[in-house]
Amino acid sequence: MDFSAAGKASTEAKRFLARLGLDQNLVKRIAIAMYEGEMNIAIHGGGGSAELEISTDKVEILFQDKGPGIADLELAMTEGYSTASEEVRSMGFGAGMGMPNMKRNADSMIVDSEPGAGTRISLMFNLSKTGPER
Amino acid sequence: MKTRADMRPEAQTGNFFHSVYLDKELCVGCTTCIKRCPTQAIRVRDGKAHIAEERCIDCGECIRTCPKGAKKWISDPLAVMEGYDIKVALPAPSLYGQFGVDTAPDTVFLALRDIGFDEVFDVAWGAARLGLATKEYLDAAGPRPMISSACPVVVRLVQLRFPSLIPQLVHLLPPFEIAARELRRRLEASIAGGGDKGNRGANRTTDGQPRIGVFFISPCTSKVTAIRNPLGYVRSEVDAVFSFQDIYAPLKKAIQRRKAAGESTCAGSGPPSKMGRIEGLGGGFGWARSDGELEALNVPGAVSVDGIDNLIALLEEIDNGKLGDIPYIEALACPGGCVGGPMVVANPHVARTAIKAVSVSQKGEEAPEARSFNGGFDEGPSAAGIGRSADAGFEALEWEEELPPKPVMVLDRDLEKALAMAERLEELAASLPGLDCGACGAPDCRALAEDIVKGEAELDDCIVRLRRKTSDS
Repeated sequence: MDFSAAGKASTEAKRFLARLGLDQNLVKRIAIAMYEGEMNIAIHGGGGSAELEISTDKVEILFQDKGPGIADLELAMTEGYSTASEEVRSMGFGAGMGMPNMKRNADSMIVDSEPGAGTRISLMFNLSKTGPER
Repeated sequence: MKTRADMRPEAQTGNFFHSVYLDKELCVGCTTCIKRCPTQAIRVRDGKAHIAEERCIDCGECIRTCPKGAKKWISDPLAVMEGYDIKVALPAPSLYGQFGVDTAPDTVFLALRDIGFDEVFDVAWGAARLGLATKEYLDAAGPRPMISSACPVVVRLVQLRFPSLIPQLVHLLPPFEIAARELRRRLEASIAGGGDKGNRGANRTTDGQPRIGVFFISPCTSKVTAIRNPLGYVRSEVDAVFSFQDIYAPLKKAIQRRKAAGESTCAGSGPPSKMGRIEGLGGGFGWARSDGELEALNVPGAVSVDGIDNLIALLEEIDNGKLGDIPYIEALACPGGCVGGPMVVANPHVARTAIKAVSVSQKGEEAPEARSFNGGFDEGPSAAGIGRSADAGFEALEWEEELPPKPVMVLDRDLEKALAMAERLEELAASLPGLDCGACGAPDCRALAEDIVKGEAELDDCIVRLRRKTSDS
């Protein structure tokens, strides 16, 4: 498991968004969701990708991995529930807040996963709703 | 008399005053500094470095790193003192660490008198006062972790690079400003009450009052900037900032004279009186070094960070919504804290040990003291209790105005245009070699891409790419 790059995607996303002059709170919400997503991919997904797509009215993030998939989505969305290994927990991760944190920060969240078929999570952040400061 | 307005021209070319500036004569265009700048504010163009004013946070990293000494600072010349009737020194706590472990704080304090100051009011007093207020401030609910705002570089860095963390900064005045305000209030009250026996007054103001000059003796470029462009408050009560380097030689001489003569009191005015005690905190001197603020505050689980890279890494984590279980961050941009400031003389590690000795020696006093040679401070009724722990509320120290985010990275005010530029920037960055060699004059390939998109550079500035192109054809 590689945690050395943890937070890298989030940092890059923040750097990109800083060039657009978006509302600070929105940027923070996106950064938090991005961080949780990339950590999930590192912990459970065995590697994968995060794509950021921005238009004038919304920001979308698509996470994709080829991991084991999510067996029980409802459980996965429950705060404090985690399937992370003891090893991961001992490193301070796997507190069971990743998915709930993504949902809380995004305006919409779609999870597409089947055991054995990997996981796709798409998050959407509404630009007009949060009112960019411009 | 020189005033704040007529500083050297190099730093005055735009809307922002900066203490840090470039001496073009000395700059050889070597690109060492551009890599170290935490806000990517420097570019080398036409063989010389250029500092983008809107991005510079006056941290002094480039001063430390420039091999040619071309990065300099502006501080006020000692001669500005001449324009004032009552000259007050506001020594930063770290000043007491500049003269080795065997120099007692009282000796430094008396030597300040010898070189022309009428009064000394320790910034350590402001630090201790801020410590008490911060403890109370932290009791109130708010986002965690709260981040100390005592270091102006931290405040400017947050404003520029981590604006979403602005609410997490402690919205209280910095120690030097707290000390300056308290000192001025006491002195004015004392003068009004006839306590000023010095009969000084060559520079009296129009209403006949002696002109009080408050001179902050600072290790730090960002504080020179902070009194001219205050953060969170409207106007600084500090009149000028002297660097350690400027004051070191005369002060050292005076210290040596005192040591040689064995003098521990001021001729004619007896030993310094002890005023302005703050009970309950070991003293503000420790704030001169990393961990000192935390030791004074004693907040369980609080974290100390120093050095600009460490600071950025920690802020990055907080910005990712992490570390919410940590109550408080002592954040100092210079390595080792203020003893490592860009304008210091003594080796920071030696100064750190000296400061520890000062903190221990002052512990019995229960407080840093505001001291006076001439009985100038009269703690009249209005001042009573200001420093006592029972009265250590934070309200009186709160920022007077909001700190706005400073979105210096925004490519265009129009989102559509900014998006198009950002996309082009990413494409360009992908097409560049990714060596981040700095030969183009930008700190890394992405910064060059940014400059190209903004029309400030061109693709052929990349020598590596150009060479590959020519060898391919």
